[in-house]
Amino acid sequence: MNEVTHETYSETYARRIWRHFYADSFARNGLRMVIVLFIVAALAPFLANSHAIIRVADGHVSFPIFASLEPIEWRFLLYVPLAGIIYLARRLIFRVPRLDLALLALLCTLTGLLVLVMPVHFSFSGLFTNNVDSTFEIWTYSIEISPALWIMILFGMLLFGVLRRRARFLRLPQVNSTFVLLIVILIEVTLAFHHPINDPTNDRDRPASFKLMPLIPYSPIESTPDPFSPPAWKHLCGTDSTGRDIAARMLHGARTSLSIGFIAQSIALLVGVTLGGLAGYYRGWLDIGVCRFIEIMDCFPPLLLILVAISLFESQNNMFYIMAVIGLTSWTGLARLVRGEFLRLGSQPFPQAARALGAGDFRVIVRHLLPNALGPILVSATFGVASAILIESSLSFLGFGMQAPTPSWGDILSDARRYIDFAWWLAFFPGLAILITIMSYNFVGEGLRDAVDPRLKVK
Amino acid sequence: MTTYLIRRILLMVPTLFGITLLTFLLLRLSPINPALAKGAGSAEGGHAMTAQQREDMIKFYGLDKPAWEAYFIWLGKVLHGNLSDSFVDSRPVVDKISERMGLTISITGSALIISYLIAIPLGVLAAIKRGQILDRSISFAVFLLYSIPSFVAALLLILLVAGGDYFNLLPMYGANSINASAMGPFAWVWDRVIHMILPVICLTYASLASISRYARVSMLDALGQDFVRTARAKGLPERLVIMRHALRNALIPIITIFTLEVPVLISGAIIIESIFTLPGMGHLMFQSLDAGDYPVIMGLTLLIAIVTLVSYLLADILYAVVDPRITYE
Repeated sequence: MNEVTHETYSETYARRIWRHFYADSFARNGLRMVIVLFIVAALAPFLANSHAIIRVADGHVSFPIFASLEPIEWRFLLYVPLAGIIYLARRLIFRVPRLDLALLALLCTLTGLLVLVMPVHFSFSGLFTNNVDSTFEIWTYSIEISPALWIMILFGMLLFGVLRRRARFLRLPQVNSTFVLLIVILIEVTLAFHHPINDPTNDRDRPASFKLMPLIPYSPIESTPDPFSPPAWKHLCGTDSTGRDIAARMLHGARTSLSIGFIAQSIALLVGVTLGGLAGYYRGWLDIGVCRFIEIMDCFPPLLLILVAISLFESQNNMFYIMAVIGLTSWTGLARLVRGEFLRLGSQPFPQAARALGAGDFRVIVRHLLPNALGPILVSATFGVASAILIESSLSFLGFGMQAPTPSWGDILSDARRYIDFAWWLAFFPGLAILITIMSYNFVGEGLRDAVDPRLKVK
Repeated sequence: MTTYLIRRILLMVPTLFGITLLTFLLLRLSPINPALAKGAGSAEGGHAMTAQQREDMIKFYGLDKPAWEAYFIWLGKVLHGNLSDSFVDSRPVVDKISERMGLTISITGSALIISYLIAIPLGVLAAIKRGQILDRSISFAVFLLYSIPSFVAALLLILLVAGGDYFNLLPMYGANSINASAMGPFAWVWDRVIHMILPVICLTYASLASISRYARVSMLDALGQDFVRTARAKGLPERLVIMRHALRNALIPIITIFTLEVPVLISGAIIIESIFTLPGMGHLMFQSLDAGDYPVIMGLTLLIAIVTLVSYLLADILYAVVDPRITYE
């Protein structure tokens, strides 16, 4: 009897949730849709742009689209493939789970996805334009280019700190991480000298022996001479009152919506989990205080509080400001949830066991309680992203959203309101986009909830 | 019950203080505040303010006094029903709000009632036919409705049935026709009803979705209880089991969740009233935000927060009244 012995592992919690989640067809397709939306948003400048991808004229080959890219878009172009290469190297060359490389791949993907946080016409320097002099401008420019670099360096330091301590146990050699970080620094330093060329002309009508235009050959803020053109082959989703192409505006608007939803909910997550967790863990007066505060916040309808905050504090309708306001007003549900979970988990024996082994409060919270509460938090956060997107589009619709040229779905809809008599395409397409986005997020949320809920055990 | 009621109302007091404090702090900390105090750069807040208005605001909110002192002086005024005067037409804020309150209450109230009337049968039906095609299609339809923002629905409805290129059945704007004052009482009421159809539909369906989902879960919960099994075991017809045993118990939590809908409805009213230019509180809010009419904004914020708080109280009391099993001793 020479039986092959299989080492059996019990299924991890995350894997079980994933299996149940994936078995639900609505949830699965919702997740696919969200991923597609993110890819579309990330690739928006390549899908809708008035510049050609490749242009050959007078025997001279040029790539006009790349010259107009912002540094942040270059980051996306460079880091996402880098993450892929690292991932492949990890799988093919080392053939062992390399924690450092896995983290680096994740890091590169995240940095690449930073592009989603920065919509087309946004830069940090907009925050400081009050008194512009040359040194100040250079300073703000360096702020503008470096967030990714800073995040990388911080994360890298953290990584090395962690690995140096872990190396003895995991026997991880740490060679290639240094190499990758060097590449990253090289990219960032090169990008610091990259000035995007802001060329207002378009390549549509310019003669060339060969040109490859993007799918939608219009820029989101570019006015064409035919306003209120209904959907046709020339303008797939029609044009608005100033002749801007709706399809292009919608593609770029996807960035605004998705990034605001994502970042605002992250802020809410941070505040909600921190306050709720502390209240649930320490109980006593802290708990009473936090609960009172939540109760007070809950008395203000979310949209009302956001509108008032924007009208009282607005200096310019800045994207980060809107994200922060949405985030700081929509954390109460999460805080309640986390508090409840922590109260429930805190009375179970395992945190006590951890404490008996000498774990401090921070360790018990972060390593023992938080992972066990992660499922419901994730569910709530997914629904939260949907509602943040909804709030952002309501704000833009009411005219309290982003600054004028920034494309956003709500902004197109507020245009639609003025010309609703005849311009149905102005209301229909962005409305459909919002519907699809919110529905996908809600499907993902539903699926996650069913997967996380232990009462609904699927076979 | 009485002691519970008294305790519950007393518990409201600190929250009420918190609401006023938060409202006060919002204004106190905002960048328009230093602009006011300095008495210069009136365009700082984005909206021009005359010297007189600035004087009034500094006086009303005590912006020249230390924050604590100013807060209590302001609170005293608010408790006496004084919310200062509007910048736009110099009328007392309380008057402006109270004359617009009726319309908002009537449309949000009717939206709430209609959504209950539709949502409960839908939810119950979905729960009874759990997992079958009817349940799945109801759930999907409700989900679809839930994902359409109310303003998109409003725009599309206007486009389809009010004035656009298609059907011209219903009016697009306003709470009444222009010649409404010349109409007889019945004609006036009919005119008002016609004007309210679209806004109420738009306000209804978001709450409808959440209430029906809640009703489904609640009904499923009730159907799984032991007393339902007992009722079936003793041979009651299924109709009686559902109507008399399961539904009655399922209704208890459903009835009390109307409070959760209050903030949603008020948020919805701001958008819907400004789309249909209905002269209600939501539209007043939108106009004031647009004009930088801070006294009205702050007054409305405070009022709406208090209304929400009272509705929470109402829910707790209702819960105790509806369910005799709950005792608060």
